This record gives sequence, structure tokens and C-alpha cells, in this order.
Amino acid sequence: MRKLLYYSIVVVILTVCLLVMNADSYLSTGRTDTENVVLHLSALKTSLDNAQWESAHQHYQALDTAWQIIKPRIQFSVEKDQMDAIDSGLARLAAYIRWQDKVGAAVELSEIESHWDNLRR
Amino acid sequence: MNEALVVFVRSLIAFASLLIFTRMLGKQQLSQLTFFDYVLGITIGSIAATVSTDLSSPAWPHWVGLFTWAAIVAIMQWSSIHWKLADRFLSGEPVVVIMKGKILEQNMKTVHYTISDLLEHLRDKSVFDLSQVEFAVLETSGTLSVLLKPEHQTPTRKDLNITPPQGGISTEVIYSGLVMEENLKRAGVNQKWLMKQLKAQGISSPDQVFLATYNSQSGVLFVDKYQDK
Repeated sequence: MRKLLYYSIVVVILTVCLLVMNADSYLSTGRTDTENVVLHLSALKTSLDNAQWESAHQHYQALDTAWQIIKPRIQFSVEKDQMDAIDSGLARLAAYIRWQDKVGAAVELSEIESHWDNLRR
Repeated sequence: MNEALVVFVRSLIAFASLLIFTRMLGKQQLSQLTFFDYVLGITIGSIAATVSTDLSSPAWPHWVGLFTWAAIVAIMQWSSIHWKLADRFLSGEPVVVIMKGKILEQNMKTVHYTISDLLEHLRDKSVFDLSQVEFAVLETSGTLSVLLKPEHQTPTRKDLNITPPQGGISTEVIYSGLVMEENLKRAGVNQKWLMKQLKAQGISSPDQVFLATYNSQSGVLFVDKYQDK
């Protein structure tokens, strides 16, 4: 009985450790539209393609909000540098949208997408 | 990102994993470790530190590294226990460095063991004169086992025909002023006997006693009071 308890504790501890380290894929998937990073990335891309700057600004705000919700959830299992890269990318993207620079914004968005994909790998 | 919180959580993971893995790997004492075991321990500890504080990469790959190293050590231990050849290959073999009083320089050269190492290890064994040594074997853990020449060996009780006193294990009968009834029964005595013994030592109550042990084979009752004067 004591042996069973001992092994159970070990299994539980290791399972919790594995879950914390690998939960990023699950936790980064938004459960609502507000926290759906992929959805806002795609909407922002469409707005940029059509040079709809007002809409692009709104989607950027939504994307930033979603990222700020997701960030604390996945911080235990992902690379800090990737998170920092997304933060910096978002800051630059805001400036490109503000000055309506389509090429610059597209480049930043593409880089953010790449970091996002790497984050969930 | 709250870096301190992330380091805290990752440290908990590293600590728990390291504790579980090292417990699974057995209870070898540091002094019994071979040089390779020692290096393995350092490597595993270093990977655990990376799991804990290296935020430039996710914890998972480092944890896999930690697990892999621990698994390799477990496999090595298993093969050493079940396969003599593997044990000889992985742990090495003891090397005779002194045989019949003669130093075997060639053997010492093969294991990179210097004469100063030999003299130091002999002194560690309280041997200050090389001429007293019959055999010396360098064990895989790096310790030196020494057999002295018969004329320099300490005589045993058997050699001197002396009957050794009774040994046996003592049992706690009072701890922090509390009488351990169960232990008294196991030692074949009772509380009445204990009180009589305490009174003989000038103690009126078990409350005054911090620890009392009784050896049923030698019949010795050891009493330590709270008041040491």
C-alpha cells in the first residue's frame, strides 16, 4: 500500500511537470474570439492587403489584447526570446500601421506569424 | 513575462525531477563513486540548473536531456548488476599497486597513479612506512585498500584469546520525559524496574530524563537528564 502511494506520488509529480512544460499548444489556442491570436492575425493581414488602415488599427488592438491574455498562460513552457520578439514585432507593427506603411507592416506581420508558429512548436 | 515566477515554477520542476531521478538511481555514497559517476552527477546537475534558470529556451528540451542522462545512468547500473563484462567495462577493475612489498610501477602507469598519490593514500590509512605493506589495491572508486605484512598487523581479540564483551543494540525507553512502554516490553523489563533504576541514579521522575536507553544483552541503562550538572 505504501509502495503504491509512493509510486502514485511520483507519477502525479512527473505528470504535472510534463503538463506544465508542454501545455503551450493547448493554452495558446484562444477559447473565445477575444483571445484568438490566429484569428486576429489573419484579419489584420486581410485589412493590410486591402490597405484598410482604420480596420487594420482595430484588428491590431484586438491582436495585442489577445496576445496579452495568452502571454501569462504560456510563459512557463515557451522561450522567453520568442515572446520578446513578438512583443517587439507588435510595437513596430503599431508604428507601421500608424504611418500607413503597407510594406513595413506586412514584413512585421509575417515575422510575428513566424515567431508565433515557432512558439507553439 | 514574469521572469521570477517562471524561474520559480521551472525550479520546482527541476527540483522534483532531479529528486525523483536521483532516488531512482540508488544510494551510492559520494566516496563510492567512480570518476565517471562523479562526472555524470555534475552533468545531470548542470542540466537541472539549465531547466531551472535558462529562460532563453523552453524547459522541455532540457528536461528531455535530464531524463535521457538519468535513463542512461539507470541502464548502465542495470547492465553492471546483470552483466559482469559490462560492469568491468563501465566501472573498471581494481588495480594492484603493491604486491608482496614491491611497487608495481607498470600498473601504476596504466591508471595514471603517481607515487605521491600512493604515499598520500597510505598515510590516510595510517601507514607511514612503505616497508610495512604487503599488498595495496587501488579500487575503482579511487580508494586504496591496504594489507599490512603479518608482523605489522594489529592483533585481534582472537589472537590474544580475549572474550569480547556482550554487544547488542540499545533501545530507547524514555524520550523527552515519556516512557516508551512498547520498547520496555520488547526489552523484557517493566516500568517498575525502570523507576527503581532511575531512583538508584537519583532521579525521582521520568520527566527529568531527556533520553534513556537500555541494552538488554549487556544490561546497561544509559540515562541523560535535562539538567546536565
